[in-house]
Amino acid sequence: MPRYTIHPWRTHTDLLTVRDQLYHLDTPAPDARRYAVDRILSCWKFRGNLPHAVESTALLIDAQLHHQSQNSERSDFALRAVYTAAFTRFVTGFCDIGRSREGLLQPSSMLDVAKRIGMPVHFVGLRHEAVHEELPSLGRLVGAVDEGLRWLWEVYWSRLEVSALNDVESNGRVDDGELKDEVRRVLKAFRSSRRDAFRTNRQREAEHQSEVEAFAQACGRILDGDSRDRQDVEMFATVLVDERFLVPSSRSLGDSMDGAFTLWDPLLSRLIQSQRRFPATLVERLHTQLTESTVQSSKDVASEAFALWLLHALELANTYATHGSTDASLQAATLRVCCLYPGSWTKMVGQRLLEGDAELMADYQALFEASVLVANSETMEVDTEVGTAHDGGPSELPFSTRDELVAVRYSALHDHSTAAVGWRRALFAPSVPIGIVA
Amino acid sequence: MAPKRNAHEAFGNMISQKPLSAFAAARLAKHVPAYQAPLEDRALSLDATSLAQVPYDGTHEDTTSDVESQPVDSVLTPMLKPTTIVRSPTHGKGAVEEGPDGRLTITLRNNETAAYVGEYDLRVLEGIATIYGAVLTPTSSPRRRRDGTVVQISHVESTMRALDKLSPLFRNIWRKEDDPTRTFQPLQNPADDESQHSLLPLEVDQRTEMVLSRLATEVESTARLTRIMAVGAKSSGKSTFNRILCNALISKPSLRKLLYLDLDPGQAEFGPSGQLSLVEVTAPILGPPFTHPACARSPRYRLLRAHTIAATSFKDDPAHYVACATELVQHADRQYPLVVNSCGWVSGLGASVLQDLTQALSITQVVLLEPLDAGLTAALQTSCSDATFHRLSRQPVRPTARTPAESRSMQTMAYFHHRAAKPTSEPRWSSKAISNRPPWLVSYDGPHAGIQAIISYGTQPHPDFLAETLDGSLVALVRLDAQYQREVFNPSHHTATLESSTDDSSESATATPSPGLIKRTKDGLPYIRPTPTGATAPLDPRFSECVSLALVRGIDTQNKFLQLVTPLSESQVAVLMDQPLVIVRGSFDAPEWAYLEDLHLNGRESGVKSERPWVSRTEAVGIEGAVWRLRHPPLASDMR
Repeated sequence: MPRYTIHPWRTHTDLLTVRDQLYHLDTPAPDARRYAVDRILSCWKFRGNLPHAVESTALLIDAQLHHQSQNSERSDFALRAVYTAAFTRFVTGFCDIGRSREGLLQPSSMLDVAKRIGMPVHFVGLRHEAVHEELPSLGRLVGAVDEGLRWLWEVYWSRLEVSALNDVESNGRVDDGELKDEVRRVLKAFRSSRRDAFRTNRQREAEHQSEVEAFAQACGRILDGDSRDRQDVEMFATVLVDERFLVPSSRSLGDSMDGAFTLWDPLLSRLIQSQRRFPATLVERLHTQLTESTVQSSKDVASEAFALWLLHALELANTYATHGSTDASLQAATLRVCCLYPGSWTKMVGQRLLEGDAELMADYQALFEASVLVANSETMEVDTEVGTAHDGGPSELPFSTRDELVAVRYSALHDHSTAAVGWRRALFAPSVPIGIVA
Repeated sequence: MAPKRNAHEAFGNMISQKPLSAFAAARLAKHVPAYQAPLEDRALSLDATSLAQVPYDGTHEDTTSDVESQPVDSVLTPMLKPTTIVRSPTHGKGAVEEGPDGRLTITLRNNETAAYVGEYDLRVLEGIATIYGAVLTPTSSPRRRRDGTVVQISHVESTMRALDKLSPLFRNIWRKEDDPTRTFQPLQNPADDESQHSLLPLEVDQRTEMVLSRLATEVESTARLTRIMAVGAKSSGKSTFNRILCNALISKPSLRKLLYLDLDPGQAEFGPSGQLSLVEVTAPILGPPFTHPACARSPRYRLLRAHTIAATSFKDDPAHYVACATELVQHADRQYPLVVNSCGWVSGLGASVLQDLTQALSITQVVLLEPLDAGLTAALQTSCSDATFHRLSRQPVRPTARTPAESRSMQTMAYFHHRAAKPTSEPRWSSKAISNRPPWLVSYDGPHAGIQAIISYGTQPHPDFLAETLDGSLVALVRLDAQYQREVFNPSHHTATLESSTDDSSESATATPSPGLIKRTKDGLPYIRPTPTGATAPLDPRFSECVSLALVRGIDTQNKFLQLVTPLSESQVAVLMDQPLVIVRGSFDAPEWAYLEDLHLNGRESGVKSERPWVSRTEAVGIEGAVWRLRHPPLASDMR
């Protein structure tokens, strides 16, 4: 059973960044240490679950920074007091945690704990002196703080890399990599097989047909692999779309895509038939490609290709999908994306879809036109962040929320002056973890 | 009771240095959060690296000194008279009849006890029965049978169990296996309960009985102008006593209603931690706290008014704590008796605050729970000489299945999942993971900002890190009186803006930041500048009210929205929308439960988007067992 640890840093990289800043491992920006210390003491500490080693390091370094600062008001007592407070909290914390971990009814002394955990025993001595006797001299404190920082490096910071490695392995990303390579291999082989067939003009021969069939089965095996179906389908679609398998490399703006369609159709149509999730995932990937490039110029060759592919994929899904209503909701989802991300290519896709379907026309035309209108004026910022994970999937939009969407888009777009928008209910249940803006 | 007492004393006073008793070891094991599988060697391994991972913020002491009595399970065991032998009627002897849809009809003789684990409706058909101090009689014709009582126990449609799937903390509380037809099971003998509940009969000794009856007489005779506060250390049985007291009072036909002033921010009875609240109670308090959150619509535990101190302890601002309590008590109708749930901090600062409270709240009856410092007792007696004092002997320590921090997180989780019920229906809990709930998009900048400011109680985070601190954390939503809001946020030119509308005043704060107190961070988050003394003045409880807690699900800095999840219903939010609201952050516990709910619900992580902020997965071989490769600070060139 996996265990989950909650920590105040967002990602492990953040922790490593802070480590590099604290211990001067990166190119030393003048106030990088200050920044890291502030981040730990003035943010992570408040979030809770801050490991004592991290807090101690920040306290000790904060004392050093205080010492180095050019503040002339600083008295000798203030300096020693800051060093002492930082050092005392550092040592006391380790000993207290150690004692409670031991769980003895009569707790062992701080000295015993220090010995057992390998903390230099004179740390405890210095702490005792600072608390019960005179404040130690500045020289001793400076030395002890340096030593303390080295010890913390040894017992905590130096060991981070290893655990990060563990994380990667346990998340199974290594497997993913292998699987991705496999997908690439199959797709490349399929592409060259098709090209050869066209070149030698035997694309209709039975032999080639059975090759295609074999490729489709190979892809099917990848997609059926394990029970992590959704993940595999997504990975497959990502490789297929993001790595530009679908776009001819020598393409220029306005070229027909028929060649590419013909090349890929036999494989895609089979996968659409056999893999329930494939049509939606493919369309979703194409959405992402298209929306991520809305800010680019309308002359973008790849965007045009993806827009055309999107239309084609919807058509394929319409023709081949055997799983009930997916096709209609896919079109609706696409239209929604077109409305939310107005741009020249989404506009083209939207228009074509509306032209082809009277029902969609009724539901979406007003909204679509409104969004296009605003996109053309300069008031609308196209925001690629907001919607990349817009909702749980393209097929989850019920009819009622569709109306709501229309209403809200209207008010958000046009009613800046009249309606107060201080509180609005999000339209979609987010499917991303807490902390990620969907 | 005697053996229990001995065990407690042994635990408290043992001098010899020896390994833990099984009981103490079990308590220690709880230190590992329940969402982590306990490591077997955890108690033994003592090396610096494993200690280095542990936060040093006082929570590690939960295991040693801080155990507050939290009878998570005790509700399920009806009360026993000290002299009674635990005797449950058994099946097939005529004493228990099984009816349709799994309902049981039980005939009990005098002083006989039945124990059932789970959730159920309890109905007294004939005679009289007591449970947790509450006296139950038949609703129709309360006629007394000479030869005992007939009660009916029936299956309930419960949604509480939905929380089992979202957090392991909620597991192993109710009936073990999921029997769709029956949400409860009889318990023949507490000791052989298979599901390892730590169940103990709830014992009420004679002294307590006497105090209870005296208090009840007092309440009935003094035209109900009674304000009762139990004072005792942690684990002294305060909460249990308060529940028994409330249940006893509520059972009086002449009363049927009382007010409960919940002043224990660390272990609230009716709300999430950090909240002080005044609640109107009209039904017995039977379940553990997370089963009965108070809300404005609840017919049984109606929330009248609440304040937040945004922390589980008042140590940072005792004056504000007392001010909040004093303000709340102004809203208490003197027609009804008031029971005050004080917190278990009875030494040092806690003692002087208790003294202030007894005076400020005009407490008339003080119940002292031993063991109590003689100095405090004397101080209380001099400070409120009008009050009557009752003294209870030391109560047995009830074993707790959850640490205080765990109980708090359960309570907060239940609070967030609680759906405001219709006046008649049972409370409901939503089974949806909190991360899948559509959040409120609350704009924090611009003319129509939904919140006016973010205020930090306790220590202020650096403004540069306010967003990072806020993201994914718990905050309180506080409604301000409009007049107060204008004065407090724009002190220098409030006369100028008084005439203009509310919207304008917030706009002017945005447009001209210098005159007001409100500053903005780089992301535009509005915050209150701390005073030169370093503290933020807390909101005046006379002109503000805590409406709810919220979880900051995310911050959309581009569109300047906070994504807030609150337990408020849409209509409640609609009412709040055009009122001045501020967000109060402080030292609420990190909402770890919220980060993990969807993981527990779905098993493994799903989807390729595996980024999960603030959470890491550790396989069974953790940091402790790994091989360390990097022993010395590497040079900059060694890094990636």
